[in-house]
Amino acid sequence: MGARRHKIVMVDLLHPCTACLITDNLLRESLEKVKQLRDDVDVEYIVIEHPKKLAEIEGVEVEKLPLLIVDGEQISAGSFLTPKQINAIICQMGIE
Amino acid sequence: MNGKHLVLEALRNNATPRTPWVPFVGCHAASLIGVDAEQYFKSAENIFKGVSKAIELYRPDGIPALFDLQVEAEAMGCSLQWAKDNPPSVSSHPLEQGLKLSDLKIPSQNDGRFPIVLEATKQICDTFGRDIAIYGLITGPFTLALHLRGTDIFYDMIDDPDSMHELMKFCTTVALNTADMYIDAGCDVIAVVDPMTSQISPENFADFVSPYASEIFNHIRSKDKFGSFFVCGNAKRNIEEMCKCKPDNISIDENIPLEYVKEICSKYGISFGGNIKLTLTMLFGTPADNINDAQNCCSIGGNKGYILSPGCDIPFAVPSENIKAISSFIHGEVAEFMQSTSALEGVEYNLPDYKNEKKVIIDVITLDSESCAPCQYMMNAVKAACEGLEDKVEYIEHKIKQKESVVCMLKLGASNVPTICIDGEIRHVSIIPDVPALRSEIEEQIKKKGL
Repeated sequence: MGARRHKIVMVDLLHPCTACLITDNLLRESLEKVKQLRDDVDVEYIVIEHPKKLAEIEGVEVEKLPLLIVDGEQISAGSFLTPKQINAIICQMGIE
Repeated sequence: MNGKHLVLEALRNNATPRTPWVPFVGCHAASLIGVDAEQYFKSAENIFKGVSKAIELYRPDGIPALFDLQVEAEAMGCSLQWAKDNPPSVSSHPLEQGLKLSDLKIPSQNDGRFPIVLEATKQICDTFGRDIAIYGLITGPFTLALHLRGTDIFYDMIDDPDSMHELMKFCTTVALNTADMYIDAGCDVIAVVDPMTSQISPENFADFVSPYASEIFNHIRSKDKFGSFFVCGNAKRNIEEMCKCKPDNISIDENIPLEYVKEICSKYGISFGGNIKLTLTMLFGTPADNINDAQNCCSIGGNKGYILSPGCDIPFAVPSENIKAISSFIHGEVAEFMQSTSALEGVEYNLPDYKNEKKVIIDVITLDSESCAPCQYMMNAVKAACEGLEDKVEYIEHKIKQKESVVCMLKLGASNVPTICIDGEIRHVSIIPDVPALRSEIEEQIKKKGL
């Protein structure tokens, strides 16, 4: 049986302000680095036009963008996480 | 007192006759002149045209010459990814790609897009700078350090603080140099925009940001200009540290309660601003929502040191009508604005024959007392003042979200909300009367009518 794969979903706004745009891009860079750190991760980027669309995304609990959901559980809201932090969270969640 | 003086007085943390209004127009100005964001940010002519159009439409007291936090980074070798309807974003970090700090050059007026930006800024200052406070925006040292170093900066703060300090010193030199270029171009206010500081703790802020930000604000002050510290995101925990850097003003987005910022800034004698919601209100709300949000902000901000602004730069696609609505509120022309934008043809509202009514009629014009705090206070004051007088007094709330209420407002001659009229006469505009005084007025009117 193959190792379980982990799914990370990043949600951000189509029209963020400058500050959110910087955070969005850095978070995307972090996720790309996490993909390089481990080969068992799939990343999906969801860009929404209106915050009301958050209600349709599984796992969203705190509606602040950008946000990250790992295997259905929200791990960040409106903040930046480093690749190491994201990796550590995946490990701490007991998934590994 | 013109708009510029209003802004400067607020920046001195003095009381102003009305709240100054500074819409942070960045790439949104491109939409006003029919070009995309890339065409806008790469052309001095388009920047000047866009800002001119924004000034014409939004009648601000202050405005940024440009809102682009990538100018310095691009001039120092960061690659940019351009978008049609968003500001550009940094897509590469020179210090992550093998370059050393010593390889980087402090950008001058000839580097990157600085020639374009400075030409536009000078033209904006020359044309509008007498009446409107022009803001020159520089990238804050921490955000610039992130652009240059990338995400590893968060490890450097722990693993290699010396090199982090070296990088911050370098970014501070860039910031001082950029501030001077904008001051020479004629800017009145230098805004140090450091949104990424919202991602660090107060301890890290004190260690890695405060010494450098303080130096920048001291420098701006030494040039007899005003310094504003912009932050975005949930930076509540860092507001006090920001104040300790001694800016003249702190500007925040919707993530931080305005009440809290007012309390902390008041303690340090610092002006403050911002807080209008960018997405839910400005981008997706109605004109009435925008008036409501602006009114709530002004109600909390008060008339000493508060500058009404959006939380950050206005998104490209924000409907102009929404920003014009805020402007109408600031200039006390809500009724005229609603008349010009609402389809009022065929909408009727017949005012009562106040003189012959068997009761005193109190019309309260609001946005909606369920969502607008000042309107709620006004309604509560009326309800309390009328207690026990129900057989002689009738009060009616007119919510101007409804077209009939706008017609009623126009017929009464009211221009702003909330307003109290007693038997058709405007008595209180915007300022909530105290209940005993209002009750006396009502009792006097009862007596006058012989009820």
